[in-house]
Amino acid sequence: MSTDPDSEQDALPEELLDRLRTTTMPDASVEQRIVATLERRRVLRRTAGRPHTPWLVAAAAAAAFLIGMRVGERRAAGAARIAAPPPPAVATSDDRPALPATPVLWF
Amino acid sequence: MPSIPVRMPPDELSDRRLVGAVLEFGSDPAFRELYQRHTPRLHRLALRMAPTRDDADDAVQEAWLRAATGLRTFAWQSTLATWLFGITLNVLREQSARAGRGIDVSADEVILATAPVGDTIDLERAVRMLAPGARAVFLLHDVEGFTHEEIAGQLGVTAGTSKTQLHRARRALRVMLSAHQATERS
Repeated sequence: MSTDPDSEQDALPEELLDRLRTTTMPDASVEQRIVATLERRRVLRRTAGRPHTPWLVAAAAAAAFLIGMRVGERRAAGAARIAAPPPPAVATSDDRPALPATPVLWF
Repeated sequence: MPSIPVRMPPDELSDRRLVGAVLEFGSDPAFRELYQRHTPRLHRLALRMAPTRDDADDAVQEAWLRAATGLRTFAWQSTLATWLFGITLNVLREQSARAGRGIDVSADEVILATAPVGDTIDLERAVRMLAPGARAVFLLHDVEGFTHEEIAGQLGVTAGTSKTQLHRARRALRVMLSAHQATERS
């Protein structure tokens, strides 16, 4: 309390003033709205473990789905490569039979 | 020579730490602690200055948003509580101005309306019947414990005006309450 002597002379009784020192709080939704707004404005950072906003959950789920699809596609492509028969070998010059060193007499 | 540590009230020291955590890390728990600590006093002022409970809730919400956004500019020239009350009063004043009312602290008017003769009046109602300027000074000084210098800064008036309004508010309350007690006795 103030200790201003001028103000103490006509002060109301303290027990009367105590009746005005009640403790009140706004609705709990007020705190949530303040925190959510400050998080959007990047004044506050989201604490891990707290429930996320629905749009963020949806975005995270969509991202996970897309990543999963890419992984799935890659895996499928790999499996197809393993299962497919090897391509036919192309003849090269090395595949030809070597000519005998000595001439062959045909007749 | 060893340095002498600066002595500060625990609340203020703790307020500084919490504000530091909000500024440095955007700490959500630190902000919530500040909110829980200061809101009961801000809210009881708002409840007695605003016309409805919803208006009081809105004022407290807007005051915290402004305070948190401007926290970096707070230079600790006063306590955090004094600064927060100043912001809340500004919000309440703007709210009143939008509704075509005002919080004129320099006005001579002290009582908005007198209770009809024979009508009972309790303390809460008597406070509500004070003109907004006198009501604000009375609540800030006698209920919340701010000095006239602090109130002068919060309301943008001189300390002398604050003293005058407090004196008038107390006198008006005494008159209203003694009339009430006389009615009750009879």
